[in-house]
Amino acid sequence: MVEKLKNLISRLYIFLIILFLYAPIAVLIILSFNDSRSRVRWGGFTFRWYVTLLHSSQIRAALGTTFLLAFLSAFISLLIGTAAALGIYSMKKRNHKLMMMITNIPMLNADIVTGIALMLWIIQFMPLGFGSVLIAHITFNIPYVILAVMPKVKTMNISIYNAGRDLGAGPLRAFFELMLPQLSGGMISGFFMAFTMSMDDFVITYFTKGAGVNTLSTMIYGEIKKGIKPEIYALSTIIFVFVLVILMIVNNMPAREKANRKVA
Amino acid sequence: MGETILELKNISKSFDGKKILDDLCLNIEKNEFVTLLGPSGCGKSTLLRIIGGFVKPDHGQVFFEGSDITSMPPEKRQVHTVFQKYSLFPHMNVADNVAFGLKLKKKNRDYISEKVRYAMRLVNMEGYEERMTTSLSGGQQQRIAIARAIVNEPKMLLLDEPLGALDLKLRHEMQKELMRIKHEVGITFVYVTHDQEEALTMSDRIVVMNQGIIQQMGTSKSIYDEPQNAFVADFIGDSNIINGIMIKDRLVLIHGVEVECVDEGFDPNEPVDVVIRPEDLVIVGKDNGFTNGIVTNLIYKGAYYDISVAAGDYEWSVQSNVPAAVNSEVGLFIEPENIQIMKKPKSSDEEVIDKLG
Amino acid sequence: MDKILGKRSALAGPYVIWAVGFTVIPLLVIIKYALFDRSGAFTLSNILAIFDPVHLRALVFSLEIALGCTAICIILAYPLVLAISRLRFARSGFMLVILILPMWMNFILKLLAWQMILSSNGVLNMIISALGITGFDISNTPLSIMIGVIYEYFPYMVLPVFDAVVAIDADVIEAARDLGAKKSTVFWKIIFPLSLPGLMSGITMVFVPSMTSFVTADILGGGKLQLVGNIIEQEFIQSMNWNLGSGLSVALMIFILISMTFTVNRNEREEEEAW
Repeated sequence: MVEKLKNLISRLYIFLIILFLYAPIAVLIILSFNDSRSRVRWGGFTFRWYVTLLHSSQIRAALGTTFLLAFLSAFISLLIGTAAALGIYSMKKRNHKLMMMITNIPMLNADIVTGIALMLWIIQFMPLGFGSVLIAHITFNIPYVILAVMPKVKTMNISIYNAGRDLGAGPLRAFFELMLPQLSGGMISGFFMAFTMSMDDFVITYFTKGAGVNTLSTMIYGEIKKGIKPEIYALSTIIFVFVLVILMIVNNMPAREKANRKVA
Repeated sequence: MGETILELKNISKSFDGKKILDDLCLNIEKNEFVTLLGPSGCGKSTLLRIIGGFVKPDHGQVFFEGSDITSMPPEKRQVHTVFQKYSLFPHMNVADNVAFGLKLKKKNRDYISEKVRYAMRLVNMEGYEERMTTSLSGGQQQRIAIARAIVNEPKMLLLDEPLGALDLKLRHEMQKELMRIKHEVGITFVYVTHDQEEALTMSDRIVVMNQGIIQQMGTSKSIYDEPQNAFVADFIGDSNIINGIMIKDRLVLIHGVEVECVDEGFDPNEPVDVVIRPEDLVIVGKDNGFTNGIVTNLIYKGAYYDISVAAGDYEWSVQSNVPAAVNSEVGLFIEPENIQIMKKPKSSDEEVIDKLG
Repeated sequence: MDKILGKRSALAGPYVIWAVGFTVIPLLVIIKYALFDRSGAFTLSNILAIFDPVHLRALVFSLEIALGCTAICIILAYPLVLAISRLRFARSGFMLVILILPMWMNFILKLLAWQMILSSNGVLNMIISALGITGFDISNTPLSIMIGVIYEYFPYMVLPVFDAVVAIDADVIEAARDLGAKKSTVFWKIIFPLSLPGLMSGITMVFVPSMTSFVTADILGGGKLQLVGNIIEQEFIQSMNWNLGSGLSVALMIFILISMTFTVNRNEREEEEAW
């Protein structure tokens, strides 16, 4: 009896949290079907914004920039970060500690300070634009990759590499076929974390972008005063459904994921 | 023996539709060292968790000193558990781990430090009080886990494969330690293991379990010498288990040969399981035993030789003090009293004999 | 490659260069800006400007918001983590997905949605006035900023705490109960102390951004309530006084550093005094 009541309460609590997390998302989805440019008036149901979305070059450009930025910064961070995790792990204790401290700076520092500091430095040698934003995103993404890969490096079995060499595999082959697979779990989650952080960032992009370049975040921020284009609601609804589907698929890939988790 | 401390009545438990324990009854007496022995998945750990209060049986009752504790939460039971993975609290040092239960009972400082000192001495770990548990070896951690349970003076100690994670040498050492501790504190031990040697060494009484049912109960000697069915015979020690036919009292047919034995009371021509321990077989010259065979394999095991002898399509396992040449043809001899005859179970689910013990 | 693996620390080379070039140097640059005025003369006034009443008020207000939000996130997170860990494995994975998914919606849009929900003629007020309560309007108040901040950073509190809690061996919890601990005692003596590393990273991930989330204050505070973040942003974007803006940033950094070491030390001491 008591156990059942407790289960009921804990489920109710989970439900309330979900309600809190999804209330604004529900509002945005409803707005994407609202046949009115006003945010506060319901003007009837429409698919119109989904159609006009296709023709908005401004949104398309911002979306393209956002994804390109997220992909490039996540990918470059993955390369630098994975190598860094391997390298830092084999450093002497003092250097190891120092490097991990530096790695923590962008994560502990307020975004606004990171953004401003990068801006002040970068303008000394290049104009602000896509390049400076990319540098900034890579800078805050590498630590996420390192922190995701590091635990895998710690549990990595180096004797497998030696065994591979012993059995006649060349050094490169032994590295890519025997060592990298051991890190792949951490690398994948590091990549996605970096991708997400880049997509989600506003503050650092805002200070390092200069004129002309816009990600979805900065574009939306610029439109707050003028009024948000309803197409943006349509776009975020599409992104939401897309990510929802992907996460559902990933979550339902049972065996592998669970096995990985157990290892972790 | 003495009075009953724990009584399990008709315990049944299923997980996800799979029956783990089936109408199981067991009495445990005061100060007994009882071992629950069986292969993994036989229900022994579930039974221990039911006694500890971590699992509620679907049916049946648990009585402790006469009162029903079936739905009493674990923290109220006068029973403590030593877990296989030690389960020490990683954020506390050794002394705080051991003192955990006493502090919860709000005992005074002097009493606690006195008891902790006693428990540390009992498990031979004096001087380790201030160490963090994570810095200890497996054997040391298990000693602390035992101290942490015993310091609370439980009436019964449950041990769930406590030596399973230790290497062989350490395991032997800890077996002796456990028996000494048991002797010193004089409480009831219920011990779970799948290691038959461990069970035979330590227990007053062994409960052999399989498929959620008690297969046989008794002292080490009675279980080893007189297994009541093929499962027990197979599980305890190495055995040759052969199909046979009981021709009449004291005569059994093995592989077409009539062999004398000492068993009586079977139906004429009843199919039976014949159990012969490898150490009871004697290698003799060709035609001097009840059967002949070819030596196919010889392994030196230190104290004896492990010899495989192929006779027809059966391979006999023999333990002998003297070697035999591989590929030579030899005879196998057995004393009639060393042959064990057992009734055939009707189906695998009925690999059960009585549940009395 | 054998040689590289032998001397593997060389693999960190690119990162060392990157970290020096884009993490360490920018910090030195911002400190340099902070220590000079527009004319190029050395001064501490940019940093000390944090004690200017307007700035100090913003700092104190930021601190209040950040402390409040962090505390509420902790209080909301633990029951959720415990409730999720009660679920079966497959369901708890699903719950994490549910938790992460909103992070993929643009956060400015989500704040605008909150603005609509919380506004005087918004959904929340409609429900509340339907219940017969009038005069309840939290739009453009510190409370509404806090709702926005908590909304944004709540997952950053839940995820590390959840990771720390599920990493606790089930046997350890059973051992505590076996030794006589009630469920509440198990929480305070075992689960909570063992989750502290997760809680610490949760606190850093919530506390720091809460203090500076100037967009949240803009949208949900109606432009009148200012966090330190808003002040700094205005110095850069509107007043174009980079030296003053840098000075305030450095002051903020020092302030965060001090409060973080304070939390960490507190945490270590508490761990020692677990009993």
